[in-house]
Amino acid sequence: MEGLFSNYEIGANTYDEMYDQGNLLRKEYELLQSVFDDLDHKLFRTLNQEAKLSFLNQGVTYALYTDQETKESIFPFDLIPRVISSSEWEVLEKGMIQRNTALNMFLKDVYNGAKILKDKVVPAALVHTSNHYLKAMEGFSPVGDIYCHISGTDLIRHSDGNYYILEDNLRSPSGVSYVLSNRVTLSRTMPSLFQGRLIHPVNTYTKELLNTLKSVAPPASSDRNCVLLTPGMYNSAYFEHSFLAKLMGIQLVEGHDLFVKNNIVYMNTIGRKEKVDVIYRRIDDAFLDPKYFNPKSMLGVHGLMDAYLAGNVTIVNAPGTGISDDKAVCAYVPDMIKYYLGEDAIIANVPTYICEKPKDLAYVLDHMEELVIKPVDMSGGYGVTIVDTLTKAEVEELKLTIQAKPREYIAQPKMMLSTHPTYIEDANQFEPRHIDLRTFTLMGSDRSYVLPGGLSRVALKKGSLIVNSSQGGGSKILGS
Amino acid sequence: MLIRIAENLYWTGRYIKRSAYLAKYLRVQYFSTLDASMSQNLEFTLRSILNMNGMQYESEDALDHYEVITKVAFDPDEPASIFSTVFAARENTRSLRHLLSSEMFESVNKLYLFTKDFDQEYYRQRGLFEFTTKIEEYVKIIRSDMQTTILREDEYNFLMMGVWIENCNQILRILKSKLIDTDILSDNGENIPVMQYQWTITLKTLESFDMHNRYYQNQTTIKSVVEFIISNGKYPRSFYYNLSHLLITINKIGIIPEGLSKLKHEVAKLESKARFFEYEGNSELHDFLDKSIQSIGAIHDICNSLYFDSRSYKGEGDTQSQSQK
Repeated sequence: MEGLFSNYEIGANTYDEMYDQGNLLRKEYELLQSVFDDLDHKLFRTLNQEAKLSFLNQGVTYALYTDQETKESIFPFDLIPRVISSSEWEVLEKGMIQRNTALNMFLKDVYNGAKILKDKVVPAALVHTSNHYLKAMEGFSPVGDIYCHISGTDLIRHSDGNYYILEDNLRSPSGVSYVLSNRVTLSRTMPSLFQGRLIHPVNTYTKELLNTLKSVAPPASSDRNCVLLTPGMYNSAYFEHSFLAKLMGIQLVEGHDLFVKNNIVYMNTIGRKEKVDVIYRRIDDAFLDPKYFNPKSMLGVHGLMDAYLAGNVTIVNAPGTGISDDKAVCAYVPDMIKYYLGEDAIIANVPTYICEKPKDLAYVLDHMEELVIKPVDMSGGYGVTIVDTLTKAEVEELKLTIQAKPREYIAQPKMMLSTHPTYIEDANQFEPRHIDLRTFTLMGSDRSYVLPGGLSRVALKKGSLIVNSSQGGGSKILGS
Repeated sequence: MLIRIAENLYWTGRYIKRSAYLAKYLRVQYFSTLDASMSQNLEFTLRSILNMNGMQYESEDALDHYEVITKVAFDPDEPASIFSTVFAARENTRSLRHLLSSEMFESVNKLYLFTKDFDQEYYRQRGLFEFTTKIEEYVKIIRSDMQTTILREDEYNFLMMGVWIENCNQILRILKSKLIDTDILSDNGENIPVMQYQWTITLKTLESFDMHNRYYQNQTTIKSVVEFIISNGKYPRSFYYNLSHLLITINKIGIIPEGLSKLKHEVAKLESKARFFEYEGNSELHDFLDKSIQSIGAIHDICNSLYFDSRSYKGEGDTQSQSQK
């Protein structure tokens, strides 16, 4: 290894994205190496500081919640981009479209006849005991039979070099704004990385997103008026909400900006009322409509579900998609693909043990130290336990917790996420850190789109496998 | 336009302008003590600054110099401090960032970060000039971004409505504050040059010293100063100028709510009084300023009820019309 990476040491038994186990540079990183050969540590440090200042001034931030306070911080990022070749990306893209097509067919089926449950491909109890199953959605089909229009699928590359699906995020997946912001920052900081190369653009995402939203507007609507519903500027992902609304040129609204009259949704505008046709909501189901869900919710719109079920407004993503978000249900996606599409899954799942199944539970209790335990319905890395980091007493306590409520947990083998050179400021050098990949897929009426690349998240803490930003992770700029 | 958005735009305009006025007044007043008579001692100046900001203090207590200048600049619990005003501007802007240009948002964010992170000990020792000057510079950049990166639609109009109203508010407050100062000095038996110095400070606070000199050829009297600031149609910071532009902006807003004629009438009435204002003595000036401050408050209240009161707009029939563009 040379130059900036001369001290870079790959861990044993891990797949490093940039170097193989023989310390040879992978082909797709050749350009990167040549650009970085022109830099020394001092110059790189300067570029890094300038990029950080740019993010700070632009307010590209993320709110971190602790017990004591909520702190607004710039979204951590690393200037060394991750590179995925076009050929590799093609496979991933097909895999994401296949997966999300099957998931939408599953949601449609579950709420309309539930044939897959009757055929016992997916246990009915698993679906009906999910906190996100909504009775109100039974018998209803949204426009285009699309329930999950925007999904964030998390993948990892294991030490065998293959990609695996870690989980699906089908409610309000976040992170795409950082993909777009990171790419702009990288192009300004290191333009030579882009010159003369065919890099898949990412700036088409918001245009595709808007077209997706418009494609699922109620058929009777002429204007196809779309809005983005945000909990407000104190929400951790508010930067993303305002960023997307701005680039799409649509209204950013809060719950009290909307009202329902005669099952039609309107905006609280000065002058005449303005009808809303599509709501891209970044609010959980529980807070969406105080009439149907949490009656204390101040974030939602009273009567919104009535308007939705009357077919007068489309909600993106549809209420009730969380049953596919459930990590226990996620384990059955390859079966769904087989059932609905007659195909094998292009991208395999990380093996998953569903604690509600007695056989799986027995395995989990006997092999705790080899596993990662996850609550089925949490996101953002919250609640994830890597068991071999616990004391014996903590392991025993965890076993009791799982046994008390097995439906609430799944377990996965501890996968050795791939690593990538990451600039560590304190050490002023590059060190390997574990990364994953979040892809963003859009499904509309007769259209689909996968954002080239996606968001590569990095666990900034040495040895950590938790990449989520809410747990202190950062992001990498992704080029493909 | 969403009611909430219109209101945020209005207050963004107000808070941005307010932060510049507070910074300017603090600096000009504070440094004026260095070159003033004994009557305008530090305590006199600190009281003037607190009066202008509308901050409470016990008049009989001796004011702590560092405590006052820190409070005026940084106290987050004091709504009239520079920090609180900048923070409010930024919070309003955050809820508008999908609507405002990236340039403008970034400028406001930089102002906030600068204010938040400025070394307060350095400020107390020698950094007041740098701090307040930089605040004004940031606000000028923000104003430039408003002028050059926002489409001339209702987003711009509501921003400017806030700007004009805040300008009127601050001009009146500055004049009132100075009038009180000169009353105190007069009670202390100070002579005319001392009084005139106060009015010179007023002109500098409003960045109008050079313009006034050119207009009145270096004759600075209370009459020339207050008439210049209140009624001169060519001076872009005059009370009259700001009121006429407020009226122009109101006419440009593309929505005509019921009751708009009342708002226009109030503004036009006050504009006329400002235009034909003549100084006739301190007592009359006090009266004019007090009534004008009340009128600006009433105009703000009417704007609030016409444009920002959500109870008016729950779709109870299409009673409001929309003007032709």
